[in-house]
Amino acid sequence: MEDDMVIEVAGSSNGEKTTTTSSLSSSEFDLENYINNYSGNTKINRLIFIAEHCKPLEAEAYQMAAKEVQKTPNYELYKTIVGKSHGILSLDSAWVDNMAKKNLAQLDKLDSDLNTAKANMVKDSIRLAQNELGEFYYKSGDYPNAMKSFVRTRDYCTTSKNILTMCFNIIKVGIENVNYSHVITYVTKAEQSPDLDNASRAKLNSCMGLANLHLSKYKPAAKKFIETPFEQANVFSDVLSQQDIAIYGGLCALATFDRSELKKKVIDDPTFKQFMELVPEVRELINDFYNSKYGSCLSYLDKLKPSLLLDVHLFEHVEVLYSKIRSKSLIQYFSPYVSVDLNVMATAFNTTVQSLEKEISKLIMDDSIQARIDSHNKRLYARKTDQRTSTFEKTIQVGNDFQNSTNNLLLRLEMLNNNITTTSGRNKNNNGMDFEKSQFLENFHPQHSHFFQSHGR
Amino acid sequence: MDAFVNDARGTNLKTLKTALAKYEDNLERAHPMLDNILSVLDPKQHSLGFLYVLKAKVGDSHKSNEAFINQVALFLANYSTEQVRLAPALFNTVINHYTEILHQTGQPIKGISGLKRSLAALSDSPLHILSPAHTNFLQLVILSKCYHIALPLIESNITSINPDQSGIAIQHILCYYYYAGIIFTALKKYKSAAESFKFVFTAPASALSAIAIEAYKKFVLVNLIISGSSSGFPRYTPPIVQRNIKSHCKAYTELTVSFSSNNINDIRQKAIPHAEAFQKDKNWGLVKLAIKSIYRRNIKKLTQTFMTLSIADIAEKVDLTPSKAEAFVLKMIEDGEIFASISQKDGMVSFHESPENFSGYNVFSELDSSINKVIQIDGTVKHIEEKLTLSQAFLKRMVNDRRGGNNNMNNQFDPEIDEFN
Repeated sequence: MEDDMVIEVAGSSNGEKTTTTSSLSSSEFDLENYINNYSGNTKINRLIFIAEHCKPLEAEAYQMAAKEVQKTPNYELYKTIVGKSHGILSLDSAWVDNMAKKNLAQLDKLDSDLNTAKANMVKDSIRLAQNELGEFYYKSGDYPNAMKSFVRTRDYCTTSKNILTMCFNIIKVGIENVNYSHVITYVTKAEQSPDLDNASRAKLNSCMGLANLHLSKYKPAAKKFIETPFEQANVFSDVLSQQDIAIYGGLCALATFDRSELKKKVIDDPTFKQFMELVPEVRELINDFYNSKYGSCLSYLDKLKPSLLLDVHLFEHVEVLYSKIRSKSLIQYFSPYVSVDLNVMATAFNTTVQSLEKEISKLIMDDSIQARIDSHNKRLYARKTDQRTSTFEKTIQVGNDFQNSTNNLLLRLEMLNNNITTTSGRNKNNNGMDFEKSQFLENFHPQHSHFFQSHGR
Repeated sequence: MDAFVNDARGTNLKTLKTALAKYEDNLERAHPMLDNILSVLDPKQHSLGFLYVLKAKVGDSHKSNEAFINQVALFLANYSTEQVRLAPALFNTVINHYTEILHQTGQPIKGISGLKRSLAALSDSPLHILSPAHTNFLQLVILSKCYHIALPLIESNITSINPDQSGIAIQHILCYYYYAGIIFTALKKYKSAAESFKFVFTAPASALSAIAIEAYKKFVLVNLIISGSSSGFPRYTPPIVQRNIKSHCKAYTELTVSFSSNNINDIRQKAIPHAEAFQKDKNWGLVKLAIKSIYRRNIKKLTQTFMTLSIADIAEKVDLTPSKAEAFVLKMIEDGEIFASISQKDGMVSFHESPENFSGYNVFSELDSSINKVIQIDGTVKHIEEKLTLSQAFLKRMVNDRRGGNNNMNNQFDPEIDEFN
């Protein structure tokens, strides 16, 4: 299921991307600069993702990915990358063989380490040995085994710091393995730890935000990202960069927060401001949105879009978030008006009157905008519901419903009191039940229905 | 037979029934003479005797249908309620046979006025207490397509039955509501129709009846016409119905599912394989109406979104040709479904808000009567509740529950029980 969706999303935006990425030359999307924000497995994953989704950057990305992989023991992944690269890379089979042997030896060593530790019954050394093993599995891309090893350290944790390490390890594996239920459980667990420093809190918040983003719960995601404390050093580069936090948080907030929340929690928030400084575009577009400069806000968004589509976490959600932001800006634009000229509104949103009309009519139909369109004069009028009329309508409706349901209830009660109910033909012990109901129906039913036969012409 | 005539002329109501009952078999055997006997009896004064003879004629397969129809008509025009109530079963048989013969001879309209009078024969309040004649009456109304005649009856609230007095059985009640639903549907009062059909399959049951199945089918279709979706079973639907009814109505369930797409061509495609089933159930016309209602709902949605819209745009938005779209809009304006005006000069339609502003005498008198009805219903419910809480069975149950050990739970009922212990 998940896979299908990913493919579909990638496919549907493909056409768009080939056009947009041609303008997205290396000057606009600095791959090297971007990828240096990351380390570890996510760096490789991101590179592969970019290579698969962006033709112009394919060669560069595959080369970098191969280089990164060769720093790790994950020769399987290396082989896949080379296989996928359409001949851009050539297989270094000597390295692969070498690595395979090395890995076996390493695994043996770690296993025997673990066994010795277990034999000595020293909790802490067992834990360390398990951790090493988990780390090794993680690096070689064997996430299920990595997860197992890390979960096993749980019994040997003695201090809260140990527990924290365990949680972070599991979270890391969970994110790479797209297993967000684990992420959420262990983030919650880690948050209970008494000695959290700023860095760990930052990690936890951003992981929770990421998990919410993946579950399409944009509002909680935005809250978590915004609450993330700012750290000078890039402490979490094996999962997220600080730019990511700014972008994810900013877009989710824009899509779900109302105006006052946006002002209070995003624009005026001293911590999140620091994040936004890292990605000026996000700061600008949020400010533009708040200041009702929707045209410029949307053009910033359009400019950002190609690079966002290359983000391994965000790409699935870009369309949804964008359409949410767009609808919200349409709603907000119209909110102070009684009537609006659609021509003016179309210019404000860089679109044509026809497509604007369609968008607005959709919003009206899902009750997001209380208005009606005068298609003849190209105007949008706010609609005021007449409270009195609607109250009358509702009251009469409720009254009728009550009468109907109560009357039917009374009759059913009366039937039960008199023991008149439908029973199966076999035990017809009821008064007056002298022939089968179905027979009764046969006798009367078909002839009357000629009306329905000829009715619908 | 002279003895019968003499007894039938008797005036003592208390003994009349027993006096006449013994002739029943004799009458059955004397078919050729029955017309003569009828001619010497007065339908008003000797109603019971008249009824016995008519009942005997039901079994006579050689009788003249015309004569029988006239005799029953004469009887129904004059009968004495007091005497008829002595023999409800006979009355029901005669009425039922009368209805059948009218149907067979293709003149259902003849019986309507007679049956309308017969409603009160076994019901103290024909608008509130159901009797078997009610069902036959609706049947004739449908057969003769004089739907409006039944409207006052089916729009009133039936809340009671009296089986001891009228001999009513479950199939009469179910059929009554089934027929009422058909009449409402014919008059395009779909909401009331849905209510009526709903009653049929929510009636108390420990088995599934064919009537309930047919009613459910029509209920589904009527709901599709109203809203394009189907409402689930009410909470009080008998479990056996909830469990089993859908397996008898597969075509209808699938049609409902296809409606969620709101794509007319798609729905048509999906309905075609089931056409035979729909035609067999004689519901094909309703299916077509249901599909057509999608256009109406879409146009209605447009009226809430737009103030003015060109015919061409409407046509495009609801997937119709412009001329058809215009016809649709026109028809909907005529039916009062939407409020709009069409300007043919520039091909524009302006949609208006509902002009109903809920003021004036009519609205208030309607509200007033509604309120009064609700108060009345409330009174009835209170009365029934009182009766129930004072009934011996209820009190016994309460006391037993209390003795059953779980004292804490029943403490709240203590005051009432103590009073009656």
